[in-house]
Amino acid sequence: MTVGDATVNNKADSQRSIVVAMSGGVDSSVAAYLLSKTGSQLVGVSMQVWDYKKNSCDNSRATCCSPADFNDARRVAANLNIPYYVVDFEATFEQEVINRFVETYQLGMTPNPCIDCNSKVKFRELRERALSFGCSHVATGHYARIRESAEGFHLLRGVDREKDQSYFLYTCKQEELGRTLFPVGNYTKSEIREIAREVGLVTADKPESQDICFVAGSVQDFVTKIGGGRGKGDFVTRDGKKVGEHEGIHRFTVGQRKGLNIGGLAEPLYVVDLNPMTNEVILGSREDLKRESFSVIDMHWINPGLRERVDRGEFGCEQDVFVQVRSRHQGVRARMKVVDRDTCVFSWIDEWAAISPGQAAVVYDLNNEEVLAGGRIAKSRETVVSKEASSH
Amino acid sequence: MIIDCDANATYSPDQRIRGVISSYLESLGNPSSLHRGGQRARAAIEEARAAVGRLVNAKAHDRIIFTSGATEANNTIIQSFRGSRGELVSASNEHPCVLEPLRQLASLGSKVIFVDPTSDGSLSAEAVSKELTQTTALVSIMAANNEVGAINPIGEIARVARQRSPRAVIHSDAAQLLGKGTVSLDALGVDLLTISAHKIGGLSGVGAIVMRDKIDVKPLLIGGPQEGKVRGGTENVIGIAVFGVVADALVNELPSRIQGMERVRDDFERMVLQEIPNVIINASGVARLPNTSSLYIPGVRADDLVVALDLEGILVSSGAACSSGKPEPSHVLISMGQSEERVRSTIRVSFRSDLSRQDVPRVVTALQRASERMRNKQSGASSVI
Repeated sequence: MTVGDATVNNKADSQRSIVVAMSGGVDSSVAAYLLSKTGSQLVGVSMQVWDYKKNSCDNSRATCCSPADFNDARRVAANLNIPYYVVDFEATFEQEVINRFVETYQLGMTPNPCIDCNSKVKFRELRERALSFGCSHVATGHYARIRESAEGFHLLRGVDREKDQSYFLYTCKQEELGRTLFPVGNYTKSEIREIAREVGLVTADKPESQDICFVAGSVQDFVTKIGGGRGKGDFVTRDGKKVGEHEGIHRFTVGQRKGLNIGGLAEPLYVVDLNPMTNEVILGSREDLKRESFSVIDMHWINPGLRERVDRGEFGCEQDVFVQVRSRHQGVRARMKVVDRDTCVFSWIDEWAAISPGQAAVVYDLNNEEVLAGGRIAKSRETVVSKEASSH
Repeated sequence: MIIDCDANATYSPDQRIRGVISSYLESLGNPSSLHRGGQRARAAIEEARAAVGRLVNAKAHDRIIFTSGATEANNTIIQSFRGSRGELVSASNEHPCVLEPLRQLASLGSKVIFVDPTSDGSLSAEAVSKELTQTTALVSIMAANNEVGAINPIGEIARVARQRSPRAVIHSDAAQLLGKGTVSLDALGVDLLTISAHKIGGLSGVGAIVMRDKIDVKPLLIGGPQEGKVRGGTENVIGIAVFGVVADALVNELPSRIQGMERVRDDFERMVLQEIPNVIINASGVARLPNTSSLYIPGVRADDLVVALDLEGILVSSGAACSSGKPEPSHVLISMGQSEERVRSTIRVSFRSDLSRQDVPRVVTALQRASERMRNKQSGASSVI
């Protein structure tokens, strides 16, 4: 394997000054290493986003970005002989990621904090801070790729489909993609570990970070601690029959089957809806999760051609795409109807997937390779409203 | 090349101490041992005590107790007042190693009063005087502030305190004034002083309490009779020896060092005010350390400016040195009643006396470029180098 051929464009590498976000994990360590081979001027930055000591629900360690992880990042930076700083992002992170995370759960929806962190913290504030430092580019250890064409910049899935993180990056704007580097996106995870071992990075054999970086214990306990609990409520069936009690709707996600603790019923039960007004968790069969179509709001248009069409106001047109509706989902074929700049309606083509309002729906091309667009899955009520609006 | 403009954090050692360190690396004994290895180490410590004594103009009966630094010295002094019934008077812009032990005593029931400085960062004798009573047990006021450089009128405060609070012990943390002004028990009129080696070109990990003989200080660390039973534990022989050597040199060099610092600082401030619009120099209305410029640069984020300058080889800080990497808003600037925005946009530039005057324009240019970049970004324009 050749090491160091990973950057997306090689023009004037030595002229380029890049902030590398270093979490202390193996991916961003190798990202820094790969860029250090290109002759670019690098500045390692660990983002202090959350006070784990103050906010942890228990004594277990957070999964990444703890002070111990920063010491690993510091050692890697020293090894690569690049300057390294811990930079404070706590205010933005709390406002844009934590608060939204807690609020979304309390509204009976399922948040995706990694997407908010990327769009509001990594690709907005980190970029601004990088400019303050005199750096033009930002690099991260995401498994994704950026390709430049005559039309503009294209965001692609990482080569390693198991590790691909393009789903979390759909909010990237064209001008951001032009100044972003994902050095590990051309490699598989095992290749990245191999490089780390070859060059002796201390992070080579660190375990994978899991789930949500700022939650050390249970997500639901975290939401309760930070935002206050929603209080107990009822489990009801779709026809309104009470079948049990639960500890708060923020503890559930649409599509969830495990952890309901309700027995004695013939068929397996799923959470099919959450009602924040009545504090009810509505249960049903897997078939009840099925939607013919669903709305996606707060759309971001990332593919340059598609973005241009939307900018021209070409609405109402339909296009077959792949849509991925949660982070660990392969994506399935669907028909996308662009309602307006902010809204799309998707209808399944051959197979369907359970959707959770609040989660991201990310649109890929028919090769299931390039990110075209993305948005947030609307609540079913919002779906109805936007359907009515579009039929009138 | 690195231009070190963070001398208030550490005044990095000059080459002269190399010889001292290497000479003690051989056959260094425990200073408490009877044999010659021990005797040599003991002699080094006593030699250093004499040199530090000369620097602070100590009298025959004054005592100098070596500690692991100013933090330990201040803790030792303040913890001696644990359980004291009298009031403990200090200031809200003191170093955390004074504030925190006092807060701890307050939580244990002591009456602790923190006097606020003026908006220029210095303490008026009147403000302190208002808090003094017949029963005040301790007055602890820093000689000069580490962040903004304001020098407190300690002599005047001490005089007032002697009148109003005859039983009070008077202490001054002089870690930042040492090497930048005259520090002595007599000159400041106090009973106790705290000093630190790495602020004058010695090694970090060494400091001292300078005290009048009659004062009773209780050991913080017990388990050994070292340092006149005030500080248990085998002494940091090399660190203390180096402290002695730099103190000895400073006895003669102090006037020229102060002059050198002032010259560089004045050049710098003149150029900054010319080149960078709307800069305000904190504490400029009061007596200041000769080497410290605390600059409010509206529209910049101080911690980003520190990084931007570091990338150009220029070392400054956005307040006091912090160990965590996560800067807390400066309690010093807050105590001066400054706005949140001003606190966020203030950097500290603190010069060495041997900084070349030719380096000053380089520092100003880098500061000007980085500030402009940040100010432009805020107004929506983008500029990339």
